[in-house]
Amino acid sequence: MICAGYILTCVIGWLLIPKLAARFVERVAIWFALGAFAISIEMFAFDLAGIGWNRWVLLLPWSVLGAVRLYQGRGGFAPGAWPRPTWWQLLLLVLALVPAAVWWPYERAMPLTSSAWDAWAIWLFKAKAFYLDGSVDPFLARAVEFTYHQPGYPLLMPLYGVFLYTLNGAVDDYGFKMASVCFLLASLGVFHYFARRGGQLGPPLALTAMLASVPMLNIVSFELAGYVDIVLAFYLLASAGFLHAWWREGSRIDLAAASVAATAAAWTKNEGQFFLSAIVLLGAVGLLLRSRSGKFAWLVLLGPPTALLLPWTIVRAGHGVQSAGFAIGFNFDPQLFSIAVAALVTEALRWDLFVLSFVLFVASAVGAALLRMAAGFWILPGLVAWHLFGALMAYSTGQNDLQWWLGTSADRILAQIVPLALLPAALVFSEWIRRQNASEGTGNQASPGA
Amino acid sequence: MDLPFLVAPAACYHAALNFKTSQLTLAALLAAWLALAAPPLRTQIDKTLNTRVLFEGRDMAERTALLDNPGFRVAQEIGSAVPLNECVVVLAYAGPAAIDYYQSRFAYYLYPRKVLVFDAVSASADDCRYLAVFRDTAQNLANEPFAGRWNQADLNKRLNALDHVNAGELTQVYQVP
Repeated sequence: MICAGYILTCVIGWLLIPKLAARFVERVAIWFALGAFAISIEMFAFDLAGIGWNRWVLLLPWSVLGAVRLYQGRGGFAPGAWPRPTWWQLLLLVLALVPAAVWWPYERAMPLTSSAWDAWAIWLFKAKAFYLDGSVDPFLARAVEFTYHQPGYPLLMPLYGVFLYTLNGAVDDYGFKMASVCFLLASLGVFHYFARRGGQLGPPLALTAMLASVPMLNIVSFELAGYVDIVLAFYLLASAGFLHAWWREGSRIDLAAASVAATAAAWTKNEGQFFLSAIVLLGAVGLLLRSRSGKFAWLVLLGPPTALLLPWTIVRAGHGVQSAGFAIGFNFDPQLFSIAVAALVTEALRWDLFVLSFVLFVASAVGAALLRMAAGFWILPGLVAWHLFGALMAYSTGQNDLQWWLGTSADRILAQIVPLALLPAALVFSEWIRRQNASEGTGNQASPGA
Repeated sequence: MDLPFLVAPAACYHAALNFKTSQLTLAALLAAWLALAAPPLRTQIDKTLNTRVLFEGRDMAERTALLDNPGFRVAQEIGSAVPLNECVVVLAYAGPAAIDYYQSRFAYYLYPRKVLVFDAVSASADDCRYLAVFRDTAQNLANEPFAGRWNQADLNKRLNALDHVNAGELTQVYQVP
């Protein structure tokens, strides 16, 4: 039943955006992540309204939306013409799927054990507690009992888990752990989507294969299944990718998608809240630079985070639960900052965890400078730097013992940003190939006359 | 001269000639990347094979018990004796970090019961009607020795005043009469 829930999640995403200019696999990736986010909002809204979480009542709005789509005639399933792949495209596709295939049997055998602390102590615990209580309130009311369980953390995954448990009719933490694997596959799909919007075919597939084989990304998705780092990685990538697309192409849909994805990131984990602030800031700068943006564009940018995070803040504060996280600038210790920088750089250069991800990230910035890429491109590396800056600022508050903190989180912080850190490389390679093709075309045309 | 072993390298060479610097750079990068990513994948394959041997013929609960010894089994024994809406004080002969661990682990397994874990036999039971006692495994205690307050005579005196409701393999559960 949990597997049916994952499929239903994609269907719900499809009902929300039936027409999406993307390849089928890319669409499924976006539908899944959008569906999971929409479901968590539905769960939260139903709980606030006192409707409760009966499975048929939960499915009612989606059934109505499905009927509307059918009536409109827009819900027709149109996978589009399948492109005929070349041998090297097929090879890269296989390469992208090999790591997941290697990891999958291990995850299939693994129960929810003590090794994955955050999975059961925070995320799966909340999902179980909310499901058994039938609401978020009883758990929050007992928050002082659960100081080890971070009651102030955001609720996307716990509430999505409650939805799956409600469909299933029982808690199934093992089945819910599979959501991490689904988000890994979705991350590969959406990475390819943004890379392909760069205009070439080779670099997106090659970089997707590289991303799939980053060991730390597989660790957070399989060995640490139930953690939300891979979920956050998806939404960080999606929000940055859509913001970059909006900056480059100016479509308001991309701006709305960036805002929704950034809100989902903030609704997933605290690091996402810091990231959301950058997306809003960059969106606001972009709107101010565009003289004819209008009030609706501002609503598109600010509406999603306000509509969701404000009620959550009120609910949380109503139970006296503090927001997890830190206040930037408070208790800043430069010595801790420098220690954290050294540790993060050392960790980022570990090829056994990240291969060459962050070396390639720096190289792509150099490449972009040499190619004089458009200003909008720098949003992507800028957001990577922003995310890491946020983590460094947290480390330098001395809130926890730094060595312990770095040891338990630095690799995951870097894993959260790996997909986004590889996207600039895909775009730089695409641009480089495009320019070589163009110059060759010019050269070929010029030569007859020469 | 159209033998495949001669044609294939020639085809590759011809294809390489048609590649541009950018494409060759990308291909080289991909090859280097996969070479670096291969050893961790190899480790994962070995891990998977070892896990299969370890878990063969065991269901999910048995697998959990095997890797979560003794938290999962202790929680099962407490859960079978304490009703859902009750509170239980657990007196654990375990190291300090293990006490924190069991506090979290039992909270997860036993929710919505209220669970309080202590390493002192005199710990107050507050309004809890149930009391459970267990001793950590020798292996865990060797890694992290007990550092609490544990007087067996005091414990026996305290337990004698309670009703014994469940004797598990690892845990004894009592109820306030």
